[in-house]
Amino acid sequence: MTEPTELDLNDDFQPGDWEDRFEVSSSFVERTLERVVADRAEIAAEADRVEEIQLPREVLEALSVPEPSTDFVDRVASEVRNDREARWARVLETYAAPRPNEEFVERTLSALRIDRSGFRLVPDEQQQQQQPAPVVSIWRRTAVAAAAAVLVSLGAFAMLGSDPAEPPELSPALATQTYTPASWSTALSGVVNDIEDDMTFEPIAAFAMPIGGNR
Amino acid sequence: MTDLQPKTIAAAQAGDDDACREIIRALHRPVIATIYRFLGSRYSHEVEDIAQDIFLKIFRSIERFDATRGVKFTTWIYTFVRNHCFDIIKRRRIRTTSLSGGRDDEGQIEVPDEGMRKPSAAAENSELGQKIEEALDGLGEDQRMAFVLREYEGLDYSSIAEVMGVSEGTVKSRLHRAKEALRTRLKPYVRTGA
Repeated sequence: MTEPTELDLNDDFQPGDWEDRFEVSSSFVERTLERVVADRAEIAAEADRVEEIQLPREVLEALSVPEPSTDFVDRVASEVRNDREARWARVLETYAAPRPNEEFVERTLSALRIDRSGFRLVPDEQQQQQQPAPVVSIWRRTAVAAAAAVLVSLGAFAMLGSDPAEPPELSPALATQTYTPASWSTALSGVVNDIEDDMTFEPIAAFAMPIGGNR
Repeated sequence: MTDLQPKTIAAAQAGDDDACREIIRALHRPVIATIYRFLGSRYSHEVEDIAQDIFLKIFRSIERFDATRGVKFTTWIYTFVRNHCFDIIKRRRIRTTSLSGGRDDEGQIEVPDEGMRKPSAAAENSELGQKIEEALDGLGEDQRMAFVLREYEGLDYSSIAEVMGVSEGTVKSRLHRAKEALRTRLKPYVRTGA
């Protein structure tokens, strides 16, 4: 066994390094090319020169070929199918599904939220930081109901307590305001408008609410 | 070997079992015959296994067949037959029997190896058939394959050149030498017309 050479020991050896270590005649390429061209010309000349020899067909046919098995086609077709299935199985066995990173999961979930809301992307953190949807407090609702009840009562009182013949402006209690059905509705609308103005209603935030509205 | 319908080939490329079966049915005889005539009767007991291996290779690669490149499907098939047979010879280091004791196309000295011959298989052929087989055995591998493809399978020069990966001129030259050698070796039979 020969001792390892410097080339064997050099792990950094590259195929191109041979050029530095061995002398190759500068005419090598030219000489080789000439041989190749000459060889081609010789083959072409021979091909033109030769005449096709005809061998008797009956002689050649004496070399008979064994008859294939009757089940050869079925057997090979079955093998081909099994081979294809086996190769697929191997491919599937060796296939490792890529594990998504956290950022990908976040992006995908956000995209799903867009799809479900049909409006805009609101990440969870942002949703939590947002103002809760405006909810009219129970006290405010009670106050509105009470005001409405007082107004209705006053109106009823005025209608029941006044003489139909007496003009309403003669009644000291009602001198500053004339209560008619139209006026009551106007007053109620004013109260409701005031309440609505107080509500910091944000339609975008409402759209961004999770499905079912739970927070 | 008749070429198959493009739709059959396309279906086989898509994995259709019936199309694969149709291709096997259409091509198995010429494939087996080429293997048998090229490798000789010593392989008669495994010629179907070899053909099956070739078909498996063909269908593993059938997606790569591109009819638009101008190559016939049958020519493409013969390329597999040729390559597989050459691989078998190289892998098993078969020494081909040479009647002239000369060298083959690769310059290797041919050593007779009668021990590999299977007598029962050889006996299936007539005496003339055995003589032809011996004469073919004496050719180099490239000459023998070119001869089988031309004389038994009826391929034209360009197709043989495609299968062999050489020029048409080389094919003509090899065929001429092969036929010349066979004519000499089969002279008594050719004279009498067998």
